[in-house]
Amino acid sequence: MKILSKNNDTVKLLASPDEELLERGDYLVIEDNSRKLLIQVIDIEYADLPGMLEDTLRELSVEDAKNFSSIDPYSIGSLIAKLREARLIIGKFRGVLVDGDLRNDILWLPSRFYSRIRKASSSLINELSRSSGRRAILLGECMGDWFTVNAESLDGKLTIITGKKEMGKSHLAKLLVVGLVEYGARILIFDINGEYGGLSKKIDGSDSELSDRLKVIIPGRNFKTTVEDAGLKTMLDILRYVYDTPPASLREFSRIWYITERIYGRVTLKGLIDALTKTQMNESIREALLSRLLSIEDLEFFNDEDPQSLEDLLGELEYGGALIVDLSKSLPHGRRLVVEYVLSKLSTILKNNQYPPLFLLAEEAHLYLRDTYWDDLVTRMRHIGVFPIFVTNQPDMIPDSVYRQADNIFLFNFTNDSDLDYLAKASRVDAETVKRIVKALPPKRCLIVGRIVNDIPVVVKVRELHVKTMGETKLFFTQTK
Amino acid sequence: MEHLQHQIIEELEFLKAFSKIGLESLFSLKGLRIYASSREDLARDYLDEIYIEFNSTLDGYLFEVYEPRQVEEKKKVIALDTSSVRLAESSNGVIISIKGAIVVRDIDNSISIQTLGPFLFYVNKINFKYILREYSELIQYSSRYDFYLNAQRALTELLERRMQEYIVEKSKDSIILFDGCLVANNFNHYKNLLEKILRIAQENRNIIIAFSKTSFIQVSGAYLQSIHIEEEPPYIIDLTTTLKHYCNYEVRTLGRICLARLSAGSLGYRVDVPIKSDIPTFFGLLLKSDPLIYGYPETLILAHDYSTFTRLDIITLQTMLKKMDVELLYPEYVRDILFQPVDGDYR
Repeated sequence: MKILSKNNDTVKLLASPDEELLERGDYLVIEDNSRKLLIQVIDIEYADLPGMLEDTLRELSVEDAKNFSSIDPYSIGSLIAKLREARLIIGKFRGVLVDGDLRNDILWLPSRFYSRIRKASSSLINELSRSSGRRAILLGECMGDWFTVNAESLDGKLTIITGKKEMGKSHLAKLLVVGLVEYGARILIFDINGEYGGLSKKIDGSDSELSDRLKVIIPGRNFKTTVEDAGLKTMLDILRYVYDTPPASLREFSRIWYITERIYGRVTLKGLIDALTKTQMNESIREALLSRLLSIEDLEFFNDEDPQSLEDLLGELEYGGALIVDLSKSLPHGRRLVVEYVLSKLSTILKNNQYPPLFLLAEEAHLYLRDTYWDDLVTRMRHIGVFPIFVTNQPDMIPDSVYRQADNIFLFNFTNDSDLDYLAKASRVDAETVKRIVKALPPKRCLIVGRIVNDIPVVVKVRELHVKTMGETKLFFTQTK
Repeated sequence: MEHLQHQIIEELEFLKAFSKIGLESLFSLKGLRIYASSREDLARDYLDEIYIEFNSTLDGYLFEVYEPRQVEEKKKVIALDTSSVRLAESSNGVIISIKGAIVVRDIDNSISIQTLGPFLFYVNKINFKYILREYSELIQYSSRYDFYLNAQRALTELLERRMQEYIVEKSKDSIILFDGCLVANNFNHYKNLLEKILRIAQENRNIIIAFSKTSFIQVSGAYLQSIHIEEEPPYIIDLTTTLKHYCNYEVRTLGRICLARLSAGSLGYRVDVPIKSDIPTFFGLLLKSDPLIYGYPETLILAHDYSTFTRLDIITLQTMLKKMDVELLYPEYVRDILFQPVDGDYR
């Protein structure tokens, strides 16, 4: 390989076709004397050699010829063939290695003609991409070797896992959950498809090591609460964001809340409905509020007789574990109501230091992630003590503000250009890297960018899990007959 | 390069000696520092560079116009062409590469292509007589540049005439298309060889037609191609009688010189045919046997294409020279290195 050019952070190398096979995301070290330049391969193309068009056209016309023979006394043909197949490797400058440190501030270029180019060792990349910490989570393989990240790099950070469907997002999320729980972390999971319960079982059906550290709660069944526990603010947020209630109606709802509290001594859903029917107000507002409260009542999530407090449920995860909110049986607005309640409650619990910081994993986050009610959490998450991991296949549904604050991004394959454009704008790496690498990623491979890899983008083949992940697509044609 | 001899097909025996001499000449190159030729000066076609001028208009002279005869018969068409390139030059000698192509269009319209070479030669003032043998007479030089040019020209002619000789001997009842014209200069060997080629071709009932793209005949300062008559193409104007009076005496024509405008809209080309040619039948057979592209036979275009050096050929040959421990110097690179940081990339 030889250096052809460097333009901004793009480095182009010429390589012969029989060079070692490279994959997108691999790293190359360009060595000149004692200094080394680190570049990441983002694509490979045919080298645009002079006379190539003419040569190819000639080849094309030979295909129509009955016979083609060549008397080539010096075997020039084989040399030409090698030249014609020359490859252009497109790489991105990642820094200069000085005394084992990767530096971006040093202006140095290796010699085009005398520098030595070789594939970087996996140990070098592991070392450079390792963030501080000692709790290693084995993610999979990178450049032919095992690749780990430190659990500490998820702690206090906002993490996004995104990619199109069936690429392995949930699988990676489960792998992170298992890794975090094993190190004693507490995680709250919004489980849209009811898959995370499977982590308690091994593939052979026996109990996994996590079986007693996972708790699945189903809203309306084993997870119910009271409106009083939710509080007026949460109820107003639910009405505003989940049920699109206009401001005038919200003002009336506040009035009704205080009336109920004064008359019944406590606020219940039944009491609110009673007060609403009896209090004098504009009929259309009454109608609007009543229909919404009846709809909330139908969900059976608010139950004044047999409530469970979120504090108690979280308390059960004393030694690390995951509280899985199974939303698979909830209707869309019910799902959003539960999320709204849990987030609001969580924020209060953590603000009051009633519970240690926890991770929050939101599967299919685009289904309930709205501009408003996550903003507070995302903006102040470090102070509150909630560290979200969002999993989505619709990156454009997650607000810009969330991306801008993301510390770690796991990117699986996307082929849609508009998704890639969006990601390129929002992620912590240059647009070209995202577009070229992500577009070509096979299933179960992801590009990791951000603090978790010390801002060295790495392509990782995610390893298998020995527990039931249950995320696989159910198929009709499963048996061959 | 040890396997060199094995690669030469038995039938093309003459190439064995040709490539062997080339290889021997290269041995003296080892360790030589030599300037690469200008990259703009890649391929030349010297055989066409013959000027015939006369300073009168055609109106006053006799010329005959023929129409190609309608024929049903098709013939095999064989076209051959060569090209050469000067790869590098030093004060002592020049590295020349030559290449040839033979393209055969069979009666069923199928195409066969054979490329010969590239062959490499290092020609200097000591070895040129050994390399070029009879053709060394062609090398008359007053300057180093003349030597380079004449050496290139002589080598190209050597290969081309050998190929022509081989084809006319091997083929029968075919149309054989040459690139260039049937004109000899004062060089006796050349005239004799061309006469021999034409004679053997006739014996084997081959039809020789030589198409020229670049030879110039000027009539009162205007080029031959600008002559128009009030006929619809295809037609052939036989200018032989006219030109006989005005021919440069240093040039001996061994055939009939015509202007052939074979398709509407085409410029017309200088075409030479042997003296005893039935022009209407020859061109009738050609039109029946080979498609024309802008009035030029496609088979000959293919031969030209496959014998031409591409940039990639040049790069490869230069790579090969480097492998032979020849240091190639690029004059313009030195200029770039010295001045480009100051004067920028204005070119």
